[in-house]
Amino acid sequence: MNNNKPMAIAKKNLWTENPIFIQVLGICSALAVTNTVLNTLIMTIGVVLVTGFTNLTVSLLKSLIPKKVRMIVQTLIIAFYVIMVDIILRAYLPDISKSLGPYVGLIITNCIIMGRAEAFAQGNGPIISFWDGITSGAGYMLVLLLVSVIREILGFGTILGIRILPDTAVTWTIMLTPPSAFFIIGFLIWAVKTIMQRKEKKS
Amino acid sequence: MKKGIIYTVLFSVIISFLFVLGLTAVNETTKPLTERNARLALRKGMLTAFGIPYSGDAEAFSLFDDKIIQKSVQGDTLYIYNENGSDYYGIRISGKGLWNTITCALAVDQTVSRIKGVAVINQSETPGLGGRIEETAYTDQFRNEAIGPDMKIKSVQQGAYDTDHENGQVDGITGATGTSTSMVVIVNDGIMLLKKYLGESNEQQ
Repeated sequence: MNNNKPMAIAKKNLWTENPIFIQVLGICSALAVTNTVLNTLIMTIGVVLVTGFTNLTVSLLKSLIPKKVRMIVQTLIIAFYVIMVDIILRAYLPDISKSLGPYVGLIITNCIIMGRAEAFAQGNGPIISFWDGITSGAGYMLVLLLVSVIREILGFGTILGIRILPDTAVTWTIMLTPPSAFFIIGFLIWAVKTIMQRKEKKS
Repeated sequence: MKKGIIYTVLFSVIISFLFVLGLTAVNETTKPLTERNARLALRKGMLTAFGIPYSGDAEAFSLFDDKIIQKSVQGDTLYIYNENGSDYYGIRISGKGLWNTITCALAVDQTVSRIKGVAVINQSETPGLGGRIEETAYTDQFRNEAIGPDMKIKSVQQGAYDTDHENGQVDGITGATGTSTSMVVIVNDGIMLLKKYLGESNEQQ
């Protein structure tokens, strides 16, 4: 059971089986929320928490959930945590909630969450499932943050609203629109795959 | 273990009930905070529209209560602010955005010939695109903007925010034409409403 060691799971979810680079899951939100770093940060923290707690809950309830309604129950659990995140943001971080608009609710449709619940939490213990959820979410977070840093610098000339490029620098309008995330993710996948193949050749 | 149909139905009902109960409890607990946030957003919006600077939530509440008078007109609320002897009038106005309703605070002068200011109270437009209507760089275009004889402000696509406050024009946000057009429609609706309300209250006097 070497594959279920916490470090091995973390490495798999962050790198070798990264949800975005390798599994190409959760791409819709990767295009939509990566135009500013702050939006991406809050949204991906939401995804990390929802994936972790969904995995934990699915793992705790797995022996009770009837097979026939398994996926509906998983969706219910995901929706529960997403609405929870939405309510908490509205109450405690109203400005962020306002700027994320409809995207928080759309975490429900993120394939990574149900993918991990189905592939991992159904067959493993609660603690390790929670860890798997958190690291899967972190793998998603890492890539989206990278994309958002590139987009915010080139699109607005700022990072987290702080000006980085001089006022005279020409900002790229395309970086503000979703297609730019397609190009950036494409280039990132290309780079990551090249690094991985080189490592494989060496070993 | 294979589970029978009765178990499946019972399980589904119980688990749905429990999760919904949990959400209702959290929603009810945070309700006072959410309502306070809504009240605060309206107050901050009105203060910004009237051009009254504030720092922090507490000051926004106290300044609003001190400086702004509320008057009921045809079931709507008219907000009145006196600056250096001149009265300015504000209303809360909502309209259709690209994704959801946009709510703004709009303030004009007594003769409805110039906008005092516009602030966005609530919106769910695309983050980073239409959502940018909240930024002061965009809303400052409306500040002290002259309202032409046709009582309309126009949204134009000139690629840079409009700094001429006499031409009755504001520049739209690149990549968010729908939201930019909606904003101007909402502001124009607000101007018409204020014209109507102020015309009536002047006649009464």
